[in-house]
Amino acid sequence: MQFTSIAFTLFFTFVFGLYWFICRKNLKLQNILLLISSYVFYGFWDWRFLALLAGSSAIAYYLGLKIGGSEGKTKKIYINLGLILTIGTLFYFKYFGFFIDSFANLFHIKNTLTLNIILPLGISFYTFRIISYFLDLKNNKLKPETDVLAFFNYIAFFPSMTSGPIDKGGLLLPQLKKERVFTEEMAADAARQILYGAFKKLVIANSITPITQNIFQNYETLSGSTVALGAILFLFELYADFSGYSDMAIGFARLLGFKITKNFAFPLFAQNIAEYWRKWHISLTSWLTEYVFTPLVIQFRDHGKRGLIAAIILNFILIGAWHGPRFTFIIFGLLHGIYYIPLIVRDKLNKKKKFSGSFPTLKELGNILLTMMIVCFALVLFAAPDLKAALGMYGRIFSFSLFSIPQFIKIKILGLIGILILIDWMNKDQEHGLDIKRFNPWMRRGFYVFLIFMIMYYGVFSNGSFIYEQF
Amino acid sequence: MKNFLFKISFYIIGILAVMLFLGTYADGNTDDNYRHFAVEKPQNIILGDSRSVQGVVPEVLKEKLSVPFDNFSLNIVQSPYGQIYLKALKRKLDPETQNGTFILAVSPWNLALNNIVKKTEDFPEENSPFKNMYFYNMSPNYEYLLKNFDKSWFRIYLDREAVGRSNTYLHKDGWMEVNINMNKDSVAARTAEKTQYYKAMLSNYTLSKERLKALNEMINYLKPKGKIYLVRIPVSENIIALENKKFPEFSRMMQNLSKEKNIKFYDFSNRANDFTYIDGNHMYKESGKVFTAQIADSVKADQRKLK
Repeated sequence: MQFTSIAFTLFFTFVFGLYWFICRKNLKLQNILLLISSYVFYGFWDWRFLALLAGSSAIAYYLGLKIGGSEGKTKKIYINLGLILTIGTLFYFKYFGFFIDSFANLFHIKNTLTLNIILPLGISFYTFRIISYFLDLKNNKLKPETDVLAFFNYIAFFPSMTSGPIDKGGLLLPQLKKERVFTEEMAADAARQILYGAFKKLVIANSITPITQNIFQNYETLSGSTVALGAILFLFELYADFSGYSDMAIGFARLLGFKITKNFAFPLFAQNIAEYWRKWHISLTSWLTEYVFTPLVIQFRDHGKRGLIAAIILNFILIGAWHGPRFTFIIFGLLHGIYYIPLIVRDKLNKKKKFSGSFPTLKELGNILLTMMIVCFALVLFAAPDLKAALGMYGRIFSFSLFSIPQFIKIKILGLIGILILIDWMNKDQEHGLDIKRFNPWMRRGFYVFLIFMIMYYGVFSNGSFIYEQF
Repeated sequence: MKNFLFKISFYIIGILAVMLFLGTYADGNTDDNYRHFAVEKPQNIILGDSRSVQGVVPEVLKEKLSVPFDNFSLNIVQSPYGQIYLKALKRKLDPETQNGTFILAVSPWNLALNNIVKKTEDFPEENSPFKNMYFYNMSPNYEYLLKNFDKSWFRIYLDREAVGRSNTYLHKDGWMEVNINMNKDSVAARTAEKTQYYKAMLSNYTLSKERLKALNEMINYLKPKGKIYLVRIPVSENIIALENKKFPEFSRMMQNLSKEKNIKFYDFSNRANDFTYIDGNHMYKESGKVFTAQIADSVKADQRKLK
C-alpha cells in the first residue's frame, strides 16, 4: 500500500474520517485507531512480520519499564540487554546473510544457511527508534514510557514507519499522550506538502527511473558522458523519490495532528559537503550525530583535528553501512567522510553559508556545482549493485568518451528537473518546498492546479515503490 | 475542519471530473488490454496468448459460424494457462452460456514455466490485469484504468481512436490488429530477433504441472457449457523447429488430452509455410483471417457431424 496508490488514499481517508469525526474527543480511542491503522498498513505489505514488529515493541516496552524500576548495575544490564536484542534483530535480518555469504565465499564453503532470510520492511527505521529509546533512557533524556498504546504507536506510527523519518522518542511520545488539535491552516499546509511530495515522486523520480536503470544496467556499452549523466540524473531521482516520500509522510502525520522530524532542507543548494549532510536525510544524520558522532568526538577529543576526522569517517562508514550489507555502501560512506577533511583542516566545518541575494552569485553557484559533482561521484557507488560494477562505471566515466555527447538527454526530463529546482529555490527558506502561504490565495490556487495538472499529465504511476523502502 | 474539507473537496471533485471525462474516451487505442474488460460478457470465446490474440479473428468466426465470438487472449506473460486465467474466464464468460464454442489455443509456452519460478506468487501472471480485476464488462471501465493503466489519463484522450488507430489496435471483439512494416527486410530482422529470443528461452522453460492442471480445470469448467476445440497455431519454420526440439511430445500430449476429454484438437503446427508472419511468431493479420477461416471450417464440419 504505497502513499501514491488508490488503496492508500482510501485507507487514509477512512482513517482520517474515523480519527477526527468519531474518535476526536477520546485520546485513547484515537490511539487505538492509530495503532490498528499502523498494523493494518504494515500487514498490507507483509503480514508475516507483524509478529516481529509487535514482539520488538513489547520487549522494548517491558525492558523500558524494568529500566525505570531499577538502578545502577541492574539498570545497565537491562539497557544493554535491550540494545543487544534490538541491534541483534537488525543484524540478523539485515547483515547476517552478508557475513555468512562472505565467509562462505572466502573459504569456498557451500552456503545454505541464509537463503531464507527476508528483510522485513522498515526494519532499519523502526529498530533505530527502539535503539534511540534505550539510549535516551541510558542518558536520562527520556523517562520509561508507561503508556503501552503510546509506546506501540511510537514504534509503528504508519506515516513514517516504512522509510522514516526516524523520530526520537522525545519528539513523538509526548505528542501521543496529549490531545491533538486540528487547525485549518496546519491541514492546508500538510495538504500542500503532500501535493509537492506526490509531484516529486510521480513526476520527477518516476520519469527519471527508466533512464537511470537503463544506463546503470548497460554502462559497459555506453559512453563515459552517458554514465556520468546517469549519476547526475540519479541524484535528482533519489532526491525526488526520498524527499517526496518524506514530504508525504510528514504531511500525512500533520493531517493526524503530529509534527514529525524534518528530513530534507533543500540539499540541492548546499555549498559544501557538511551543509549537504545537514540538509539530506536529516533524521538519520541527526540520529547518528547524537548517538555516535558526539560520543566519538568526546572520546577522541585529545587528538585534535585528527580525532575529529576519525570520528567523522567512522560516522559516515556507519551511515553507508546503515543502507545495507554491501561494500559499495561502506565505501560510499568512507568517501563522504573523506570529503569532510578539507573542511576540517580549514576550520570551515560548521560555517553556515547563506545566499546573498535572490539569485546565487557565481561563487555560490560554483560551490553548489562542486558539491553536487562530488555527491554524484559518490552516488555511483550507491547505484551500483556491487563493487565490480561501480569500478566499471568509474572506468567508463574516466575514459575519453566522457567528452562525447551523452545519450538519453530528454528535453522533457530537463524541463521537469528545472521546475523542481525552481520551486525548491523559491521556497528554500521555508519549511518545505510548497510552503507558499505567503502568496496571495489566487496564486496559491494557481500553483495547486499547475502541480495537479503536472501530476495528471506527466505522472508515471507504474512505479509506486520508493527507493528507501529497501533499506 | 469543515472549511478545510470544503476547500479541498473542490480539488478532489475537479480531479475526479477530469478523470471521468478522460475515461470516457478509452477505446481500442488505450492499451493492449483495455477492451478485454469493456465489452459485454461473451458466450463463445477464444483463449490463448499473443499468437491467438493476433491470429484468431472473431469476425471471421462470426461470419462462418453465425455466432459472435470474443477473443480473450492476452500474451504468454499475462494469460498463460493457470489459476488466474481460469478465475478471469469465470468472470468473463456469460453465466447463461449453454451451447458455446470455445477455442483454446495451446502452445508449449503458455503451458510452460520458467525454471527459476518456485512459488505460485512468483508466476508471471501475478502481475496480469486478470489478477486484480473484478469487473469485465464495464464501459468505460474505470476499475481497469485505475488499476492497470499506468500512463497519464490525458493520453487516453490524445491517443483516442478518432485521431487515428494505433499500430496495435484492439477491436471490440478482442482481436488485436497489428499494423507493421511488412517489407521483407523488416520481417526478416524481426524474425531473427524473435528466434534469438526463443532460443534463449529454450533452456529456461519446462512444461508446468500447474499449468496443465489449470488447462484441465478450464476444460472441465467449459465442457458443460458447450464445445471445446484445442488449437495449435502455426508459427514460422525457425520457431516451430525450436519448439519441436525442446518439446517433441507436445502435440501428442495435446492429442492424448483431447482424447481423454473427448474434445477436438486441431494441430496446425506443421503448416508453417501456409501463412505469413510479422516476426516469425505472430501471424500477419491477413493470414490470421485465412487461418481463422480454416478453424471455422473445421469447427463447422465437427458441429455438422454431431447433428
